[in-house]
Amino acid sequence: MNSILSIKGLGKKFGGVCAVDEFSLELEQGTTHGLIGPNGAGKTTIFNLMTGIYHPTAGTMALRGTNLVGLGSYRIAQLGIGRTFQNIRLFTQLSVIDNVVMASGVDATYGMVDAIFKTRRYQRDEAKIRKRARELLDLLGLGGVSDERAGALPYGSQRKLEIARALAARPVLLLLDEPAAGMNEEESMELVGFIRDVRKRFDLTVLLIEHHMSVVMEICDRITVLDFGRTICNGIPKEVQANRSVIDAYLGETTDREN
Amino acid sequence: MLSSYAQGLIILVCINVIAVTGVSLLTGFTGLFSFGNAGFMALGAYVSAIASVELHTPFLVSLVAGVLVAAIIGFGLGRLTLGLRGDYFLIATLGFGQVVQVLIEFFDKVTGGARGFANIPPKTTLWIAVVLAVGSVAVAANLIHSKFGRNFTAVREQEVAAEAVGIDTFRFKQMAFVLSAMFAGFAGGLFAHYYMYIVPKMFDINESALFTITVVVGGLASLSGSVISCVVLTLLPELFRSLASYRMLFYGMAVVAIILIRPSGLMGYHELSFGWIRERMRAKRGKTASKEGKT
Repeated sequence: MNSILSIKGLGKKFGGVCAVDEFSLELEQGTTHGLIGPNGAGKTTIFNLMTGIYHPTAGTMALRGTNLVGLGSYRIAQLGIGRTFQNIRLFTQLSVIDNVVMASGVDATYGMVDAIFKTRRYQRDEAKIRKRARELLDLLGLGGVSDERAGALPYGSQRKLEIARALAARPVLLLLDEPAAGMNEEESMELVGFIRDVRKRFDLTVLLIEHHMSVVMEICDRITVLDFGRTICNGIPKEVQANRSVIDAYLGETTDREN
Repeated sequence: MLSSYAQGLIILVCINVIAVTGVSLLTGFTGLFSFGNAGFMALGAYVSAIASVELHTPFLVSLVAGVLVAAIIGFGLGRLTLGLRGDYFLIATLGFGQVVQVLIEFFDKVTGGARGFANIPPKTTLWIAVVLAVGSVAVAANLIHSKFGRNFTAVREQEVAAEAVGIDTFRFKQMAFVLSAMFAGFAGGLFAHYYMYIVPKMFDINESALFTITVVVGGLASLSGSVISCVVLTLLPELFRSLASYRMLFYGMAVVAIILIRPSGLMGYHELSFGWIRERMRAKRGKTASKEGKT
């Protein structure tokens, strides 16, 4: 198997607070990896470091051998890391299909002159982009609402639309930040099937943050558990479930809180 | 034939439409507010006027020279200031507008200073103005309907998400800013060759504010809204001309009224098209029908 993403000794300090400490991760092409841990463990911070929203204070990151440290967010996205956000960030005023079209910059190869004179090249690219956007929406079951305003969609559909938008940019690695948040058990399981399907269809590697244990255990090939910015466990789902420190730090604690 | 007064009004509308089209790209689509675009208009006006008078260049060459200088200065200014947050960027453009005026007055050997620059050949005719205004709007409309317009819109709507799908937000802010400077410079060149006499005061902050007000009244994210609003707001003070000293008061009240009644502007998020009009009429009919159904 070949590694697609390699993170070594990643660290991020906010003032005196150490949000992420000595985080390392190797992702195999075509796998799904889970990132779990209690609130404030540093999971989203790691996503933000990987996508250039924050810059790390220590460590290295590389996607297929290309260094990611110090690059702008847009550049990292162009290199092939797509993501969704914990607090959904859609273009809420725009239509559903425009949200997807917006992310199709990679498929628009024409220049400004082509745009001004609406040349054949412009028309060909635009037609292709529209067609692909409709395909992606159909795939996510959003084909029927493509002209609705994105902000008017129900929560679950907004999450799906964010995934469709991320896919439009043709990523090789997809970061999903709590994709099942706010979904019930049935919807979560539907999402699991969907993520599997998408991963296979687009030959993706998936890294996801999730609190629904049923989703994580079902879909992930490997899991990394974080607590206070530190990795406390890393392994296949069975190992993680059996790990004492994980149960203490996370699983036990959440059940206590929920009860 | 139209009276020369009417012709003058149409030319003025056309010149303003060109400048406002640029501001519409910048403010309406990219979401950046500038109070310095009259400064770019001044650059275009002075550069093209000096080229025509001192260097005897043909009209077209003078215009292009004005546009290019505005573009270069816009690029430099954007590079320095577009990293700033929205409100600080606004202040920077405000400062730029003032600096341009002061510099024009300072270099009075070349520009005529506060006394103005005269004897500019009258080249901007009615037809030239109309054709160039229509052409400018068409160019802007086509840009909006391409990936460029989409990327501008992405910057306005949600910068973090725009970056996350691979849009270099700084680059597209820069592009929108330079485009708005070019449109302003172009309008300035036409302005100079219509009035034949220019003074720095013509391009003060009021003029910049007027462009931005026009776009806001017309509605964000609507090029046709900006154009309609520009025609109305340019002609409005003329309609009230008989009321002499009260006309700016009425003008101000009209702007406030529009913003209160329609906070998203006349056409916010919509473009004027037959499809849109039909949809609106159907919606209205639907509303009255459902009301009748209830009673």
